[in-house]
Amino acid sequence: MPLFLRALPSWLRPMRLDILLACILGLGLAAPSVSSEEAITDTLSTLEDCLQCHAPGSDLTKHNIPSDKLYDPEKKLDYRIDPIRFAGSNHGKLACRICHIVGKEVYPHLEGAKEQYFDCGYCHERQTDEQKYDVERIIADFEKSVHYAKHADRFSCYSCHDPHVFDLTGSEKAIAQVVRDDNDVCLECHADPIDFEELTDREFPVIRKSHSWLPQTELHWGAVRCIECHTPHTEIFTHEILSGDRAEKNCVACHSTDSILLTTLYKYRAREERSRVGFVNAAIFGEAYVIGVTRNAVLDRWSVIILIVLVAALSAHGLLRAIFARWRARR
Amino acid sequence: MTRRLNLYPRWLRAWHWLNAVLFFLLILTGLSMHFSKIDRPVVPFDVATSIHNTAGIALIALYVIFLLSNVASGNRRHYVPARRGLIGDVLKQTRFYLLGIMRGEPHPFPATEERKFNPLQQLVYITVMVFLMPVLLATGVLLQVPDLAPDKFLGAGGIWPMAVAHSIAGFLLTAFTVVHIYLGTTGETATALYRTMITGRHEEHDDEGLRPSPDPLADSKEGS
Repeated sequence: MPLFLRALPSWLRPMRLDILLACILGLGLAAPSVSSEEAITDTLSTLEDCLQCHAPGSDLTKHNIPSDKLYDPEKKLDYRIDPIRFAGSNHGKLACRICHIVGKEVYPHLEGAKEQYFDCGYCHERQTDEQKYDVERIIADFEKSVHYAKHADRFSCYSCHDPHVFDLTGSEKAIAQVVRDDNDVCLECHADPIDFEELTDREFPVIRKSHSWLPQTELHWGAVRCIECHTPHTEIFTHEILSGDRAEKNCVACHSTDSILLTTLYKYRAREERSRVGFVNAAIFGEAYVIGVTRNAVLDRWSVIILIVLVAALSAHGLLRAIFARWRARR
Repeated sequence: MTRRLNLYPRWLRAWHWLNAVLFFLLILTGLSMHFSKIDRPVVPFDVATSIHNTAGIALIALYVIFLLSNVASGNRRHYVPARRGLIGDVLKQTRFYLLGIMRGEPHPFPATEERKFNPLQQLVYITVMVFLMPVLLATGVLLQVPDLAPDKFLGAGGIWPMAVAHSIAGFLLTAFTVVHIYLGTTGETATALYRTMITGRHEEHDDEGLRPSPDPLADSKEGS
């Protein structure tokens, strides 16, 4: 059974469509159940309706709702949504009710609503061909990853892909931003001992120490994503996350004209900027200098030609010196 | 009559040969990294990087020692070309390398204690040491500490101008090294100038400058 389905309560799985329909209808008929000086909206139809309470800084007490219902650091509950980050995410244009089942009432929500949401595959398997994700393959890859192998019960898509924030790498974002966003996903656990300890009893690994073999460590971390080395090199991106001992350590995998970066981090740029004159791998050239990858083809060609001509000229000069010296000696 | 001149003090010879070793390592590893191929590594990339960075730092230290020693010893005067008649002297030396050396003509500017280098050497050496080396070393430092480089330059990554300048300076110094090694064979014998740079002693004959240019393919003992 796909992992996404496992995340749902068993009673929900066969009747998701029914519930969705009931939910949507129910929301349309719902009336506010709270009485307050500043009444909240009648229905939860749009994102803005939900953000009345779920935006950071919302004062729930105005609506007679206990503030710890939304955010309780002691219980590690946080149901606040940053509207700006959400708007910038891939799901930014979706209404909350597309994924969340909250019931007829605006508040309190349906019993167990916090745990009830539709899994990724429910939508992503049904998209148009262009946007469709091969969820079966993604799950198969994920099940080979170090996270699944060690903590299958604690990992799901949401562990890494916060649906309220996640913005899939695209051609619009600056590379530096792509790197920051993607690495933040990993660092959320791998740079935070508290989050790490929640997942495993293993000693918190100091990533600076485990990456001490990598020259210019900070520069690499700012310029490439963790997944560049911690995933196998495949034509289609894989969700098989590799442990440190299996990760790529061959520098030339990136530092060569056939760099893997051209098929991963720079794949959108590589398609668009191949025509830039004079530079090998112009796509990367525009963003950074990567030794072995970005080179000026004209400069390289003429350097080699000039050196060959120089060596040939000196060899000819030496030969002529020898011929003339022997000729003089004979005379 | 043969006189022996001590043209190159010990510190200068040590600097010269250390410089030569570092140049060799830097050219080899630099080319290996620049033209790296996943299936054809000349030097493994991580090894090349470590050697290149270490040799680069050593070259900076050696360059500083060279500058200080030249100032302290007064050796710097040998690198300063005479202003008057420089172009004519350079052309005369160039003509010798292209034509006179074939005809067995005497060296137009034989080495003396007052002037160790001919005008062409002076011009090239001062260009190398005062212009090319600082460019090479400064851009090398910026590539090792890229935080010092601007984030962007003319709409592209800020490090690439440093990399291009480093490549050009590296190429010109490689070309200089190739020519320098070859011209080392144009002494009284094919190996005489190399021996001078090892022992420091330069043999000067009364008829210096009148001796024919050597056969570069002949055995060194034969020619001496």
